[in-house]
Amino acid sequence: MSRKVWVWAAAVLVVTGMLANAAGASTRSEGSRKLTKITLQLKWVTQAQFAGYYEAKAKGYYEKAGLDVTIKPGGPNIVPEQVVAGGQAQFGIDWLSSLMLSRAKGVPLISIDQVFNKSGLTLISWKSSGINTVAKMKGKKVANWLFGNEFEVFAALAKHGMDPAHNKGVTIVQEPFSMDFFLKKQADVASAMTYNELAQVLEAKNPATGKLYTLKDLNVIKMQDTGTAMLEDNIFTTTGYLKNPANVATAKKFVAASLQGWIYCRDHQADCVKTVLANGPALPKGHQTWQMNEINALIWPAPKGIGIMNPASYKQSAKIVAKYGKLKTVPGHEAYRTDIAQAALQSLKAAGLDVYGRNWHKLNVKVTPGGK
Amino acid sequence: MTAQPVVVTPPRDSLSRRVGRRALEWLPAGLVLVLVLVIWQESIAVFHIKRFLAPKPTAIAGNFWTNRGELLHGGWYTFQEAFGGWVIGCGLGILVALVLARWRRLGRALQPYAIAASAIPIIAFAPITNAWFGPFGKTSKMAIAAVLCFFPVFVNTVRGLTSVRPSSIELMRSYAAGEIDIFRRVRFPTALPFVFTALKIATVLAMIGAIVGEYFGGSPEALGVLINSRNATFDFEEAWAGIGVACAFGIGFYLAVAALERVVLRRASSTED
Repeated sequence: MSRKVWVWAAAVLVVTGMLANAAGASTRSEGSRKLTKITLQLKWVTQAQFAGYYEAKAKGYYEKAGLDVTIKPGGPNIVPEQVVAGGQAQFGIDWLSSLMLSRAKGVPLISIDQVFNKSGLTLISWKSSGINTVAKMKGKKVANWLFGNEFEVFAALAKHGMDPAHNKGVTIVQEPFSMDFFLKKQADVASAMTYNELAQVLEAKNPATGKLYTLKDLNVIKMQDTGTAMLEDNIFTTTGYLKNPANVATAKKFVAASLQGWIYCRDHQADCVKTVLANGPALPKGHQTWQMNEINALIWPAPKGIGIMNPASYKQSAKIVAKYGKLKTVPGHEAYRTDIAQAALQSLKAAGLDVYGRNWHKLNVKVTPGGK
Repeated sequence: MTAQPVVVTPPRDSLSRRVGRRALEWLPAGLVLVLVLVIWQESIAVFHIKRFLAPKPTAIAGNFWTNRGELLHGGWYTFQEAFGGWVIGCGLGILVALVLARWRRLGRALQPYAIAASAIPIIAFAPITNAWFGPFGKTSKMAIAAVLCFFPVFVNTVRGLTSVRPSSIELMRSYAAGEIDIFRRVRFPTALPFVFTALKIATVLAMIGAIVGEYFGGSPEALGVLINSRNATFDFEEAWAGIGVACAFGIGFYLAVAALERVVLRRASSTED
């Protein structure tokens, strides 16, 4: 092809790109005249893990609070902290450890609401392998996604004399984003979130019996029980954003409306699954139903009220991050503030909502083949 | 296009003069490198660029020194994958080229597909090789490196084998030389410089292929996994240091094949006489 043609092709591409951009921007501004526009960057793809936010948007909680919230799904190569620090979103959802690491590298972020108060991370192995304790993982192949998701697992292994950071006493392999490797027994132990990977295994057929695998086929070791649990999904923003009092007010409204979404999802799991499905998740209905139930179990009951940081859990997380994230100092309490979450709770309580969920019980959700 | 392997051996100078001349040749490039590093270092301070956006070269160097064991081990691990893939990809490329150059009709049938192989978007291919060969071992990364290496080697070898002057072949025929003799004495020496050019290009591609493969899962010891993981945990200094190590291994690999090329071509040209 001649050079001229290339130049023309490039020019056409650029112009169409600009037009598409402009069109997108104009429709957005028309739809929301007086609302404050904010963007929320999720940690992962659309799924029930983020049901509260999707529900708050669907039910109009955000709009009633004067907010026009854009929810951006994440993915394997999206780091919410980088998106928020770069100004492409005002708020982000990620594990607390990731926030601590980014702060240690000079990224000015701060956690404003600790939505999950328990860890959803487990280590799973086949019952037939006999690996039913962390100690028995010595010399075995243990899979984890890495990227900062490995700290809880590393701390648990280290408690039993292994040195996972240097592959001594145990072999760490990087877990892919599908559980095929575990079903094919390419690793002895896999990391699995109660709400995601564990369900993916249970949704697969056991070729020996032709039926789905059950929890009886697996050893499930929860980080919540090994004493190495860390705090996971929290809402964060930049310290710079909160320097403006108007933004603090926006943050309070955003957190209150989000928590209201979570409260709704506690009491109406099926509705929230529908809302998530309407937003096009990668995995189907059966999987999202399981996930919604497990996510609720990480939030409820909330002894201090939903979203309030538990200092003891924070300390434990900070210690583990410092050790395995190679930080020079243990992150202190300046990494989070609770005033915004407290204000949100006050307004929810004033509206007569139950922010503790003491009577919440896990539902009995049956897995479906392939999560369908 | 003339395709005779012309290797000019310059008159030998004394060692010190040769070294001196080499140094002079490299001086401008060295100056550019120093200049870029200085501008990089200073502009970060002058424009107050955040540490997490672009670390200073001195910070990267310091990080390399602290983590040199881990980084060099990772580089060596990834190099093994790259080397394996390079051997497989180049071997297949040469083999297929030989077959196609010998049996032209078969060649015409297969060539479009061999060329189509170069259109494989390698990033999309990586998760598939992980599924085929298992995500944790070296084989899946070798497969990606091999796919990347195959095309340039194949194309260049075919071109080398077929760019013999017809008169040379006619001359050989007039001596009643068989196909094997013609190949050994005419086609092969003509093709060698083409093949080596491709082998050199493939070294760097192999290293890139291995790292791309590692981005989709692999041993935490591997350089690609390390770079990707450090990026995600905001350890950009070590990520940059890892990129530097990857480049160093790639360049080293290239230079090694270039040295091999010089030796082989010199020998080939001397046996021809």
